[in-house]
Amino acid sequence: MPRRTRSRRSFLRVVIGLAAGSAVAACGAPAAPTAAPTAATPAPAKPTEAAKSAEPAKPTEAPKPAAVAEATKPAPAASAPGSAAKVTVKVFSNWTAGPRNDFMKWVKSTYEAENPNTTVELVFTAGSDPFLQRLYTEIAGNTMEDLAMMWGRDACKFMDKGAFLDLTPLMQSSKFGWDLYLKSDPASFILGGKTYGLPHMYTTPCIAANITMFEKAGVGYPKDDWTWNDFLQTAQKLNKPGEQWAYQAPLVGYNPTETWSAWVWGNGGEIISDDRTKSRWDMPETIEAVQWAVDLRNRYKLMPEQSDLKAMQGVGIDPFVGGKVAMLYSNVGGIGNWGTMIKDFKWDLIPFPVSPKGKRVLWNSQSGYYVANNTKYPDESFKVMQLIVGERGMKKVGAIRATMPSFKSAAYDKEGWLKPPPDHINLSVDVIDGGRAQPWSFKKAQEWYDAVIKELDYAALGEKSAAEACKAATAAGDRVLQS
Amino acid sequence: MPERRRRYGDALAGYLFISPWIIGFVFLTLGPFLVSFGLSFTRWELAGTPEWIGMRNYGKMLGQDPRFWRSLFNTLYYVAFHVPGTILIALAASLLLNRKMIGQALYRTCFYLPSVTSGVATAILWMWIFNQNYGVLNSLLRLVGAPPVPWLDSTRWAMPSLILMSLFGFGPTMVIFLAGLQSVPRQLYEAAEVDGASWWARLTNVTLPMLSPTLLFAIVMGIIASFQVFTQAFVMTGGGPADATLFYVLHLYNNAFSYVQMGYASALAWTFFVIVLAFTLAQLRLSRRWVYYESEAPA
Repeated sequence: MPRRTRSRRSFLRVVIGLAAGSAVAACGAPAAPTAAPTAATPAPAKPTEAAKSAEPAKPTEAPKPAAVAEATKPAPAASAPGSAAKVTVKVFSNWTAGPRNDFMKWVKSTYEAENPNTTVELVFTAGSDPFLQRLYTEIAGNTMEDLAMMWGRDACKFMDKGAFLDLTPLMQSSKFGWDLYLKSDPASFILGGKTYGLPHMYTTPCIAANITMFEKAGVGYPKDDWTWNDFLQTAQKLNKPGEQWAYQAPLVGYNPTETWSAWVWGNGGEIISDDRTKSRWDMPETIEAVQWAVDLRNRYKLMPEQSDLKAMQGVGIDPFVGGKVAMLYSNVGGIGNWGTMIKDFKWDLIPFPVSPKGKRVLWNSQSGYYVANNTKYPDESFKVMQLIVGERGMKKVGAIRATMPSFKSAAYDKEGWLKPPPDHINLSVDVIDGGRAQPWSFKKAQEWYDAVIKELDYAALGEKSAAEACKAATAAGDRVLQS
Repeated sequence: MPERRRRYGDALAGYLFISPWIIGFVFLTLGPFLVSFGLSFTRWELAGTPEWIGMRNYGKMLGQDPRFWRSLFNTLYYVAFHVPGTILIALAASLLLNRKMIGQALYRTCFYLPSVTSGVATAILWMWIFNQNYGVLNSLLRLVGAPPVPWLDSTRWAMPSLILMSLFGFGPTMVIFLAGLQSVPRQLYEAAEVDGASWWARLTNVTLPMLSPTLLFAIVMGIIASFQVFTQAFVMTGGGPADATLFYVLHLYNNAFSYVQMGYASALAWTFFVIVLAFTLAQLRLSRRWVYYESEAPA
């Protein structure tokens, strides 16, 4: 008996010792968390500050003193091999497949070839939600990769929390300026006069058209100044219930800016005040535009049901790519996929119709790259960022149709992004000058969107009139903005 | 003395064997539990330091967040139909499958299969079943001359759609009832037959009373599980249209991971805990009136 007790205890001692040793070996010394400089953090800039600092068509009002420069030359190689310490810069993105993944690999191979002492480690998480979940967790745990891509609406939640490195000094010393980029909402990158990120992807809306359907219906390519009524008449000719739909656009439960703003702004309406404190859905021009958009679905029956779309997309079926939709309202991010996947019909971009007030005002938005505030290699991380968001990287991105580049010379590159197909790719950039930034780079943006969507869904489903739904959306949106 | 040392050694050995579970529970369950309680009194947006704001999150919930009340109403609506519906269908299925018949095992397997299918795959399948133009349900309705229903495209029908879908997951409850039915003594049925009791009388006077503890378990667990409904709305409707399927847990998820309002989301989580606990305690209290335990029967 005593012998059995001793052997059990000695067994336990051995097991505990092994477990403790394994735990210590696995965990290692935790990195001391860098305190977010909350005390010194600048007070969050009011949206008016950011909006004013980047009025449309005035890129020179971007924050000084960054001078105009060309960031085209390769980053200088590190000093003689063997003499500088090895550096690893981690880059986090969700570009996990296709041309986008090819671009990330190009970044790695190009930078490492030009900087032998640096390793670029690519870190991926596929999908938008899982990517954001991981990024948020890393920001909370102060373990964000050196460089990460992010949409402005997400980045603005953390800019005043010390999550990102202030790039202003680095931009000054490298003469890398805002003048090089297409304009959008600077609040996605700038807070309190400091730059925390640089633009990468640029997005504008577009209407992709099945030109083969147009030809079969005897409908010619639309003129640039075609009107809302012309659009309706064309759609009615193209609509064949049970066979094909004339028009597909997100309407129910979708981002209200992308869904409605093209109609609303063109009609002279607004959706939110410039200082983001008041919803404007109850403006008569806004209500009129919303009614017009929902009539396309509920009165003229030109669009597939939302549940049809969700069911098809849930099993990987795209109605436009499958040749079931004549006109798809989407964004230029889809151009790469359409070019690759559409084989059975001719397609092209067509202009967005002009409103009865004679205007066409479309939204634009940007995503960007941000450097972690606790990065060990700020200079190196910024250099990698310059390759990604500088002219070389942006021209590469545009040429392989990974996305529309934010860098001006790349977006207007006739041998890159603007090279057909599609024939009218120029429409992607033609809408920029008269366009406006999506109002999404403020902290309550997503909550405001959800409150507004909930009310506008009633109009989209035909359960309430646009007037009733818009008034309710204003009240619901204001509750969020003023809370 | 050696006896005390031996008992101490035995106790230590026991604790050491369960220590992996205790460590996991403390660090992965109890710890976050307590931290979230503290966070519910703060404003915290993931980065930076949580800012103490006292009861303001709870005040916002009760007075300034209409979507809190909407999500609570939607969840109660779902629970009110899902739990009784599932219990009734599972009970009926278990009574049928408790008979000796050819293919009994096959039938039991078929009825149980929907419960083991992935939630996301099931949701996508049902999106096709509910499809207005091509779905099975509307095709059947057209066959009998009824108008098609805009299942997921209507604020009126979206919730009934999700409830209908959820009823097909009665498999686990059915298995629990089958196990309970095995423990009903045969002599009671024989005695009832001798007394000339009809099948309904046998059901209401023998089966249900003897099955009442199992019923209580199924109801309590069913209420707790159905309060946590999330996947169907997240995949199929996103909480829409017009918040018609915005469940409480989805509203909590949105506040935590979309709006990054961790303090408020923690307050929602603790309020949820209190509500579900209240329902559970009420059920246990009411059970004294209708649950029959054989061990309490007079000798």
